[in-house]
Amino acid sequence: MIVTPDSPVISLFLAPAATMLRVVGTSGGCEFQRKIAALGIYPDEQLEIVERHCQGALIIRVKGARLAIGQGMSRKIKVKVI
Amino acid sequence: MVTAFKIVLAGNPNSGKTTIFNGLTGARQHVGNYPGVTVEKIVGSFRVDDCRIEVTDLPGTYSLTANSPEELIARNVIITEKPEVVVNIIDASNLERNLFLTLQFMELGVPMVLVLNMIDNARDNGIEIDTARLSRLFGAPVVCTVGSKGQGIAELKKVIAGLVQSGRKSVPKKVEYADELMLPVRELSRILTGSGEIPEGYDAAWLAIKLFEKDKEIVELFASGPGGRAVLDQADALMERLESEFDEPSEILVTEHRYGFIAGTCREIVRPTLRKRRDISEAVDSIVTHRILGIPLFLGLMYGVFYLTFAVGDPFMGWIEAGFGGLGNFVSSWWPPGSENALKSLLVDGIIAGVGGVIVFLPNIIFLFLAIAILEATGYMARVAFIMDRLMNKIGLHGKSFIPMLIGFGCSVPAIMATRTLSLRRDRMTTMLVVPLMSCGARVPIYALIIPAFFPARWEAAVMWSVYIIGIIAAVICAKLLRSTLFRGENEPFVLELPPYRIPTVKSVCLHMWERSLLYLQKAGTLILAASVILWIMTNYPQKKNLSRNYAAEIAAVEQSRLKAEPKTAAIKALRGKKMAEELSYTCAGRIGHALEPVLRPMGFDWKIGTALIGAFAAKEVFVAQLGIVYAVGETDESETLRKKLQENYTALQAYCIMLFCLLSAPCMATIAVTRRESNSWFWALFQLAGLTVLAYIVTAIVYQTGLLFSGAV
Repeated sequence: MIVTPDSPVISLFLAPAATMLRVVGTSGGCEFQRKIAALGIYPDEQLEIVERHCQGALIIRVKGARLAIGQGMSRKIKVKVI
Repeated sequence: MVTAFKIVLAGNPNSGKTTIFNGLTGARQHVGNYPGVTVEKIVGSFRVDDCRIEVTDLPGTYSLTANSPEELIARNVIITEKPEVVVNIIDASNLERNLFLTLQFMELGVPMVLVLNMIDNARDNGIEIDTARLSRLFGAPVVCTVGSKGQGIAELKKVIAGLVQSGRKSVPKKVEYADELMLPVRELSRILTGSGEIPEGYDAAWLAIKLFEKDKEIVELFASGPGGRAVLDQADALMERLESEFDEPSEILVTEHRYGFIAGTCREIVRPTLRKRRDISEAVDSIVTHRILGIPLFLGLMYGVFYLTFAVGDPFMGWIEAGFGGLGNFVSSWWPPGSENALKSLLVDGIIAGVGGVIVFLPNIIFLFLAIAILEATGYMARVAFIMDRLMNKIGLHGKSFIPMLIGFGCSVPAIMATRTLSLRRDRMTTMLVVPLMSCGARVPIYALIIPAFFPARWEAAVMWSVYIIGIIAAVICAKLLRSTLFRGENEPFVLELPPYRIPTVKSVCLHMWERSLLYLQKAGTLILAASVILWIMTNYPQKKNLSRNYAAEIAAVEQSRLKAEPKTAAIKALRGKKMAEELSYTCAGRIGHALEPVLRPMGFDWKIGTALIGAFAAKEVFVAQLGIVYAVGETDESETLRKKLQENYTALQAYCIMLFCLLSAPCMATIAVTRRESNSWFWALFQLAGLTVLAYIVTAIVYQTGLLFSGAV
């Protein structure tokens, strides 16, 4: 696997589906960050968009489970294409 | 001697805790395949030899940090009640995620049993777990189970009994994360120990980790102590150093180390045996959660459910109806004609007509709940929450609000309790206030009585569907209003784990259906029986001794007359009707109904409906019971069913308005009481009651008046 160090940081909202992505960071309050981290979304973790819905609602696969994510949230997660 | 021990079941949402709980205790708790089925802690017990073991089923949680009310409940039970053993239920097919919670039990240092549940799923997915090594690494016994088939339950009981009897606390190993985290943790725990500020029952290292996680509850715990501020300042200093060193918030750092530890563990204990087969759940989801098809599919499914409720339930209802009719005639036959007294009327017109009128709808209830239980148990409801999130967002609600709302189709009381899964107060309060607009099971008898009486058979499902949809739309509008006035603020982002689809076991679905039916029958036998008696008294007393006309003589005169058969019966019927109306108007219920009539008239309701509406506030089914009583009292012609009598007295527009009012007004006293409890304020409970009543009044009146205009124009 080649990691291109300069692939741009985008929000999950804009990221392509069916590609491995690396979480760069999350924005939002401390409680929010802690909560989604418990679900497996935290810096350096890999995830993949399984399905894309309207306005940024997504189903992602992370740590072997599928999570449904609302539109507001996909904007708060910053990722890089691996 | 019997000794009692306390244990708790804990685990992630959807790990099958409730199934294991039922397996251990023989209880019949409802099992669903979506997060948040268990919102309150549930207690049961089982026995091994001389030990009575008390089991508490905790709400499912992902962590023990104060992120949501359930997580706090779970944590506080473990810390304050000090169970002998924590039985950690782990979904074996989802090990990495589930161990995240396990690690936090280790941090707490509580004795554990690890249960690898749904081990068959894991094997099917090509995962082999080295349980002996897992047990060594975590310092806790491991048991493999398949909860739905009861496999491994006996062994689990044995292991638990062995643990509690040995008296030797099998404390798991202390977790050792990497030094970069553990050094500051140790430093802080030394500070905490030295300060003497540690509250009774807490462990210093655990508190240190929680402080690094910025856990609000724990910070407050210290802040309230006399020397707490100083300790917190020192903790902050350490935290700042840590954060600047790693350029990351400390709470994220803790999570990363936990997942890091788990990744290491999994590498050691998990052996993939075959390539993961194509996931059926994903294939189904690509259709069910499709961005265009998802919502129509859901609406179609709900339509199918209602169709089933009527089509399949109908013949059974006929039998029950006939049965109660026969019973009424049988009881009437105890009194020879002419010797009827108040007792006969109480039994036949009060109890049999009232309770029977409610029990008749048992088949509808059974089929409705059967369908909902199946949808729930498969895991479909979690998808519904997701596809609805976009819509829910538009009205300012969270997708998760949809789950309480769905439960609200069954009963508002558990639905209001289920709002606990919402962590923001504004989301929670809004949901709680609008949940009663979801048409609950108690309203079904009203629809089931009215719809077939006034609408052609092919429209039945559509009319019922429209009632439910109107409820949903009303909830949407109210929620939007509340969120833009009283509960302003940003939405909480939506995230929900989609559990794999599961084929529900016949046993669990039947159990759920049985429970609901039993509950319905119990209610009919207690609350509705009592209400029937009270309402019968109210509709019979005080009795008017001197009627304005001598009806008996007039009827006799008509009978003697030379009129043809048809106009004769019509004339007699009219006279009887007038007599009944005069008698009823004099009674307690009649007077209340008449007093209310001017208020109810804009909605097209007469005073008879008014009396039924009063009863309906105790429980919605009473509405049907009371109509049965009103139309049974004073009638001598027993052969006519209630539906026929309604057809003679009301128009389809009035009938629809009755359903509308029942749908939108407050469902019952219990709902208001539970809102009071959950919101912890009488203000919101009364606000809900008043708001719903006003809403129901205005909408019904508008519909009735508009309907009149149109029917007048045609």
